[in-house]
Amino acid sequence: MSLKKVTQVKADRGFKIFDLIVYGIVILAVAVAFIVLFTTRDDSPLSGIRVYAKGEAVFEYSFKENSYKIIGDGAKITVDKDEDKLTVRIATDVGYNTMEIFKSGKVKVVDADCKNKDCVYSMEIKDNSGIIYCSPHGLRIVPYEYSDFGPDVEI
Amino acid sequence: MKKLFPVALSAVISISAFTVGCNFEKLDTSPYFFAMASDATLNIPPAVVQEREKDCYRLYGETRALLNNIDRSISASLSTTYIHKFNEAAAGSKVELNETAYAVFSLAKEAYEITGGYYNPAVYYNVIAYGFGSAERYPSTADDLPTDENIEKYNLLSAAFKDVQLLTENGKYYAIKPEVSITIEGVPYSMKIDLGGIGKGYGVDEVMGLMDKYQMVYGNFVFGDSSIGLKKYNGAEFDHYKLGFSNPRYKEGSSRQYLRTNVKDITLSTSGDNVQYYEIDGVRYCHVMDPNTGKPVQTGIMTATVLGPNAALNDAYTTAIMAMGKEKAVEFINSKLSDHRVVFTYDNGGKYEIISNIPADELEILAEDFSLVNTVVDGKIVLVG
Repeated sequence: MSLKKVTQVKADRGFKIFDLIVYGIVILAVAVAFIVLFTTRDDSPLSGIRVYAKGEAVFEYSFKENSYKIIGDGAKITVDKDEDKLTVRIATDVGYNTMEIFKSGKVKVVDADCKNKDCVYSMEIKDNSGIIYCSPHGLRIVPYEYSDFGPDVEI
Repeated sequence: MKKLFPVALSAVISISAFTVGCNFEKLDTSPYFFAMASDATLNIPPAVVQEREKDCYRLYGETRALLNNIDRSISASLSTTYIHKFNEAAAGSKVELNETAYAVFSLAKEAYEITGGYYNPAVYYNVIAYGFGSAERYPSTADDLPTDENIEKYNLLSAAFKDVQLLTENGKYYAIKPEVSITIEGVPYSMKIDLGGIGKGYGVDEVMGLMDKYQMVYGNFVFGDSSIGLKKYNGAEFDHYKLGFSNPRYKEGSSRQYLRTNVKDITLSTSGDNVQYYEIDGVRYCHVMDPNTGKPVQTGIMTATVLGPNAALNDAYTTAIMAMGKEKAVEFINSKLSDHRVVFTYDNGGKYEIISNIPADELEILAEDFSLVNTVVDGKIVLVG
């Protein structure tokens, strides 16, 4: 490098304006991402149901959005839709349960291959206070806002 | 210097991203579990979950791993477990176990000794013969019930449970099957065991240990229909749970629960003739076997619940009490379980009796057709009338 070039580099400011703009954009992007991630995250419960099979969440349905989601591969799930309801069959290695989700806002189990079929005879879920579960299959249908933590325990 | 700044900035951003990324560890957010062919729930108060989210999710994850290990170790229905291998082995075989299977098997042997054989996990074939366990359906007529001849043969196998040997060698665990086998229609059978009930109790005990590890003072763990571990309840006015006992003879118009009492920091297990059962010609057949007859219990005892420090042994005690009958059960409770809290119900010709070593002022009877028929003197049950 020539002496002239060295002198020129020494004389140059540490950052040209374009450098400052690029650095500023990067820092701003990081800051915005941080703020969006940690302050606008919506963790309030949705109005819908979540289905657990053998302890793992496998299916969700949102009544607000009229949409469903199959989660992971803990169960084999088939969904049939018609105008008023979804018919969802959930199968694992211990058996299957079939439930109907009515868009009007209720859920009911209509078939299962367990011995006693207690889940089929359970009351439908119409609000956040009810759950349906099939003990032999470890299947549990739970409203998003459901919480039964209280002092009452039954044996 | 000019070149150093971008390098330094990149390094800072990379380190920050790495640190933030590490904070997003994959946490187990489900408090529901499935093991030993049963549903289980770990109930932590919502306020605690909110305040100690990561601890709770880590607790869920460790609970899941623990229950999966118990399942893989002792479940009789999974073909890869140590207990399945024991069951499939020939009479006289030395079968290797893992530490968990050895621990539960040891508890079963201990319970067998304490109950004088009234708890016996080797009634495996009897259970299936009567349509329970892995049997596909219940018998529907008297002709479908197993023959006395076959039951007596199965009893030879279950009676040999006392001869099972458990040992450790060079850091490994083993069980030696007794040299007993039977033949039915040309097919040989050796002893098989089912540690399902006591296994769930063992699971409850281990989960209670995990809750202690994470200093969870409030909450409970419910495993299947029969075993529960309770810490405290985080109420504003009281810290106990209100334990309700399901009415084993519930019918429309009667009370769903027959009894209630307050409990905390304890484990409990229950057995009953009111969940897995069928009736033929007016006789109720339930899944609890009387090891002496090899047939479903017909002692009149409808349910038995034991509250104590060890859920695994509690479970064995409840099974044994159902097989003992009323007088023998009282004698057993007074002599062996005086430091436990026990409740059992008895059908006295249509009059439903409650017998318990819990003082009467700690019990609230909820069903009109149930009555307490004992007093408690120095912690012992004294039957009245």
